[in-house]
Amino acid sequence: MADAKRESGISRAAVNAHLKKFGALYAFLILIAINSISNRNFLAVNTFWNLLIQAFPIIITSLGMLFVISGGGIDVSVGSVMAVAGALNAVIMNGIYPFFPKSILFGVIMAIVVAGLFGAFNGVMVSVFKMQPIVVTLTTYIIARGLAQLIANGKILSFSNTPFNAIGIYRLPGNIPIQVLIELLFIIVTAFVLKKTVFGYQVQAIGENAQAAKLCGIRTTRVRIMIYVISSLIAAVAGLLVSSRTSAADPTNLGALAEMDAIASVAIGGTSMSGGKARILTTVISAMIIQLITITINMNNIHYAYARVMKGIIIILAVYIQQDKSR
Amino acid sequence: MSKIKSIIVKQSALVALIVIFIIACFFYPLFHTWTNLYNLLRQNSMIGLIAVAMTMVILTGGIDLSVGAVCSMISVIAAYLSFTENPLIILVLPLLIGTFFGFMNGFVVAKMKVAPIIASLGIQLIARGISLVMTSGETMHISGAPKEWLPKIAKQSVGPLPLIFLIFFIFAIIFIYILKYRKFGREIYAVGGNEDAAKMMGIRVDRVKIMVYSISGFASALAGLILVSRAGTGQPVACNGWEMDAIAAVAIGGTSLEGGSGKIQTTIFGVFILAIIGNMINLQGNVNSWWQQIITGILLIVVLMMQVIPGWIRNRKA
Amino acid sequence: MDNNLLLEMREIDKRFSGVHALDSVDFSVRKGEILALMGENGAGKSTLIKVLTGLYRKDGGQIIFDGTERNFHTPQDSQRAGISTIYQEINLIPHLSVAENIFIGQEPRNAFGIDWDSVNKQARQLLLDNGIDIDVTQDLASYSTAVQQMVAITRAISQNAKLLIMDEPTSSLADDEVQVMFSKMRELVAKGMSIIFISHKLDEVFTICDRTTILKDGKLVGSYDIDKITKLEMVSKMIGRDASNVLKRTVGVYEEKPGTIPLVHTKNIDNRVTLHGVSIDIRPGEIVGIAGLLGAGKSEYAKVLFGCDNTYTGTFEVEGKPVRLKSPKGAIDLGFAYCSEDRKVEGIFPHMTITENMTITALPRISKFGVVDSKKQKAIVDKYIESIRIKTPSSEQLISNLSGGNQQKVLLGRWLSMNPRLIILDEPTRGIDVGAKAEIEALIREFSQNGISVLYISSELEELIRNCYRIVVIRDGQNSVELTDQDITEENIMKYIAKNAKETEVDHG
Repeated sequence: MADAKRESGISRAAVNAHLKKFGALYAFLILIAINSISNRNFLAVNTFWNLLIQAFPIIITSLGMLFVISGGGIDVSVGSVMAVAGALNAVIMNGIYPFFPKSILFGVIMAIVVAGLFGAFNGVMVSVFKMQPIVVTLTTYIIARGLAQLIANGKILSFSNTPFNAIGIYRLPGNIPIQVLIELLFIIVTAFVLKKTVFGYQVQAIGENAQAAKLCGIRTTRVRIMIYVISSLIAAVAGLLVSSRTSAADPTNLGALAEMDAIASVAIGGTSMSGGKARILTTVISAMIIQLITITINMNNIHYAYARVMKGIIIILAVYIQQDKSR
Repeated sequence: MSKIKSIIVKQSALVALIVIFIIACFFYPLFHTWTNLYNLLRQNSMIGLIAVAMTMVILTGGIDLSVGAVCSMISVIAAYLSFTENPLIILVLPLLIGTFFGFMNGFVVAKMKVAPIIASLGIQLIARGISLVMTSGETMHISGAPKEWLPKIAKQSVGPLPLIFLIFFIFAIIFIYILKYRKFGREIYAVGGNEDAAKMMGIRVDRVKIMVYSISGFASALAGLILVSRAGTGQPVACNGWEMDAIAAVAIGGTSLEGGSGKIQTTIFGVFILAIIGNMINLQGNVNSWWQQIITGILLIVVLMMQVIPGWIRNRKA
Repeated sequence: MDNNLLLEMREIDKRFSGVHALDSVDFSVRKGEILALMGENGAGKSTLIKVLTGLYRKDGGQIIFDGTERNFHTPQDSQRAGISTIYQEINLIPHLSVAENIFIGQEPRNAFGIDWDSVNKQARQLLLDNGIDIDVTQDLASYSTAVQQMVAITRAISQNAKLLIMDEPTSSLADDEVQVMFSKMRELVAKGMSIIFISHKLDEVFTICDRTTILKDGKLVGSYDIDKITKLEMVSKMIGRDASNVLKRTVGVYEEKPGTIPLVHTKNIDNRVTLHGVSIDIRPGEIVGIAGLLGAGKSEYAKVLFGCDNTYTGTFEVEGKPVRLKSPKGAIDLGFAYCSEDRKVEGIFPHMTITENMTITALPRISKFGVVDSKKQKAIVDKYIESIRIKTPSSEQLISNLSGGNQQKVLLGRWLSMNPRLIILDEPTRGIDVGAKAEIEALIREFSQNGISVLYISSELEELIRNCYRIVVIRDGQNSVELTDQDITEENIMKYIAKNAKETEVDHG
């Protein structure tokens, strides 16, 4: 009796461990299978590119969020920072401010610099003044959204025929969208930074055990500031690329709720919400799952609203299954 | 002198509210007209309800991101139920549904040990999804007799005050009372202040947590009923970001997001500080409404810095 | 059963995944007595208390409280039965008022709800009875630890506790505050309450307690009337070994090369809380041991050396140059290394691999432009897995899957890869099995042969005696004695641990 109980306990633990590791992948494969069966066009290369393009903002913002969460924090300001970057660049590119040069390069640089400042603000408040990450980034979330609207004067800024649009639209030989290349680049760089650099190791060490990290000589304050700067910089890039694809910057809706998708991707991807080991591949897959749910539902003529319900259930279950009971 | 200083620090939210109120009266003659104040009270009752409940969730050390979505879902459900023409069903069933959503949220947090931010994000998506499923994103119309009486609730006055403000006010008073004078209220503080100690003292921590999320769901549902009454339709895409506004009001009120210390009273001050800022910007006319967000954010920083800096200076000196 | 007994625990057994934490322990408390529960770390004191209060389920044995056999499943159960516990870390709610902390869960009520007037009035009266006159409506957190401690005691009294367990209640109190607490304790037992007193301060135990029960390694050593045992006997029962075991020293005499200055020179290190004047010199390649009871300031001194505590006064020189370390980073740059006594909280990154754990400090050195050189990283890990014999199937194993001994070796590897000049080891063999212990001790002696200085902190006297050239005994945050060569004997060390502070001063004079 007791033995049987123990045995089933072991196998259950094994199943849990397995699900923890491969759960996201299974969900992804199941979704692809459903789509392939129900829709022949799904496996077409174009659909695949579309998935990658559509999932673009979620994927790269979730990479930024991965730095923050694995470092033991959270950043709810990414969506608003996306909007600031998009709006600022659009304004400069359209030459609305006479004192700024009407230049794409300048627009992009300014967008990234301002985003970086927001990130630095978040980081300093969290690491120097020891404020709670969620409150600090909530303020940034509010201020940045207001700033985006202020910059754009509340209007949707559209632009066309600029080389800036090209990034979002053109495809390389072989029909490969430029965005997908950028996306891949981000994934590779993130993986590289987290797995191969001193900084990456230190981020995860701080998230895993901040006290031990300090005793290992890691400058925790500095690393923490960097984490938030990175998150904001990546958000800026996401904002710029979304606006490039849509040929417009909508200060109200650009990036709205992007932070929640990013947090969900990281959580479903199996990175602990209390910090530690960053899981890159599963985060990317989870971001694609979130996008795939929407696509699945679109292509199968199911009401798109079900996507939200499914997302909600998946987030709770995925985090519940993967949570480390020992923590 | 030091006594005045300590009162200002302790009552910073109230002081800020008074200062902002005086500024508003001084610069905007339209502000202190009764019509304007009446509208101010009416418009902010819903967010007030939600913020009051959010205060209790945050006092236990949690957070609830689902409030806006639940509020909007309830407005849709109430509108949908109008075909029954039965006031009891239209008004009570949505409240039960909202409370149930809060209960689920609390269950996931307390029993399944999922981080509150994730749990309530999941509930948010589910609630928002349901309202979209029910409506395809269009507003849901009220049918039959309720078309007449339901919108009237929001327009009703009791004496000089809007009825919905009174609902909010009574709700707030009840929970101010409970927090101060009932065992359950004190347990909320104990759970957020030191969960382990609370357990040692025999407090059923899980139950307290599930209760506060359920109350939050109930408050969101109440706000949803007000919404459907005010708008005259079910609003499936409304209330986006209300959770953030509510959290901001709680934080401006000085309640610690770590839990354990704070008050509903100061949250209400926070709600009306934000409301008056918005109102002033409306009255200014030529200033863009997005300044509201920037000013709100800056105010939030100032308040938060006031809470953090003393400790920071003490640490530096040590 | 003896009518005079309030609590009797018989043959209590408790195991944690194979470790025998309590091995058939008998324990009893009489009515109206103060009993000292003594033992070093790992002796099983806190396990015993947790079994009693219902935090742990016992694996065997019997608990008889107040005449009936009881099985407490939760702390609430035991509280209801009349057992109150006051922990070292005060278990109250900091942001609630003092009055409320006394009454939470049992507030007096009136028709309106909680009757705050009577809560405050009664709380004030209860505290006044205890000689404390404070504003009970203020937050608990706004008062000193001493007051908070008294509030905790008052809470226990207000619950009509029959047995009060005090777990190191005096550790953060000043002398006069301790006196106040003692007189309160005497008052309580005079009224018939019993108290279990856990403290590492021998003077206190001999001042206040009637009887003592000593545990060692999960077993009962014995129970003694306090006036029939000497401090030295008590210490030797707590940390001593059987006389039949002759302790062999494996290191000889430290040969000081003329003209060398000490690597570390500290004098009168005082942080006003736990350290009140510790002076230790560490010379190149020397193994210096620190002995002393728990709470004597051993770990706190290590924290000062490693830059974790910047609040001290006193002299701190490295190779003759004064230093002031603001962070561990500064200490590491000086060539210091530190293995904390608490591996779990201050050492390992549990969800990371051996490789990641071992190289985290060395990363800046084995990287170019911030990119880690994987070959060098692997080389380091392979080198130490080999040279300090870490038993693991692969270097990519999670550290939490290793045994305690191998985890400790990974941490030693972490610091060895930094080529340190000084390694501070705080309880390096805690929670490690005998075989691995010997290996780690051998490693430590090897460090010294390679010119690395070692500061060896341990509560295991035999280890210190075996491995140290010199042993500094500290008690109550002060140097008690410094022993070298043939003076290093178990008897000597225990004598100085047990000695009164005043006697020590006389010795020095």
